[in-house]
Amino acid sequence: MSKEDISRRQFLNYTLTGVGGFMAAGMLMPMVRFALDPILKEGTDQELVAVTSMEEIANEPKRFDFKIKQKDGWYESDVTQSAWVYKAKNGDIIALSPICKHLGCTVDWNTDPSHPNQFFCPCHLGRYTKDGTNVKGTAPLAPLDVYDSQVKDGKLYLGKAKPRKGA
Amino acid sequence: MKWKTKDADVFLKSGEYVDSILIPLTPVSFSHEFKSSVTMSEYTELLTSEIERQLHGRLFLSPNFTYVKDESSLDLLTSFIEHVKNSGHFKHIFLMTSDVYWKEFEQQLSGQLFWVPALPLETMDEKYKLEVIKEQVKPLFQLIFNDWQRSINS
Repeated sequence: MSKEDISRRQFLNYTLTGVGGFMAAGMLMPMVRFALDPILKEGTDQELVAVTSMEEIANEPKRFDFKIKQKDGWYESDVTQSAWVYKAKNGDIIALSPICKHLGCTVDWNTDPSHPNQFFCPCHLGRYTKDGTNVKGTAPLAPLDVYDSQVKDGKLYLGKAKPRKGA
Repeated sequence: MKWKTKDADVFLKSGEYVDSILIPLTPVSFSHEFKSSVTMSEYTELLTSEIERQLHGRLFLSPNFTYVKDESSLDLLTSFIEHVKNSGHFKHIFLMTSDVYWKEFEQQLSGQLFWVPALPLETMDEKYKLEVIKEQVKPLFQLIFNDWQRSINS
């Protein structure tokens, strides 16, 4: 009885819309996916990189160099990056980017004899205190960037350097 | 700063802070000195890019001065340096090469010449390579800082 409820016309309508819909979806889905791809990718642009084992980190800032992969257009290359890493009084690991916020030179720790225990930029004499805060009256206008960091299996992993609000 | 559009914009804005230029001198040859010129060029590039990375805000890394070694190379370099000088941007001109050829013209070049013989880096592993380069550029930084210091005092 119920088998006769559907007419030939209806049956064809349903199947054709169904199959047509599948085909349209098959074509549209990749297009939508391509269009959205850049949005979906964001946030995972840089993985954490193992930089050093925890034993090497002291209370005094120490410089560690590591390599990351950088994409510039189609050109992918290994870029060396550095971080100043030390253990704060409360036990936190602080990893500062050595890139001077003035014009991007690499800052050094404790190399200016007249201002000990500060980060010093040799290019335009910029200075930062140990926690990376820029010293007022010197060239830089913002504190040093801080790396996203994570400790796993006794190793320090660093991610992206993030800017902080100015002092 | 590098020969890149992004850096060029910064240079146009903050040019007064950038008073030094580093010119890599890299030989080109496709005959009997082929392999050695490749090694020298590669080594020079590694050193100069490390120096640029650390002194990004005050030092401009010029595109390589690439030359075929013959009697005209000195004249070409001289006129290149002349052009750089006349631009009025750079008080400090540094030249870097692994090619001993330039050593004998050191006095005639207006600019400080760093001659660093090339090391066979291709046989080293990555980590060791980084160490070597770091050690190699250390004294060069000192020479650059000294030059900067002199201009403050004078």
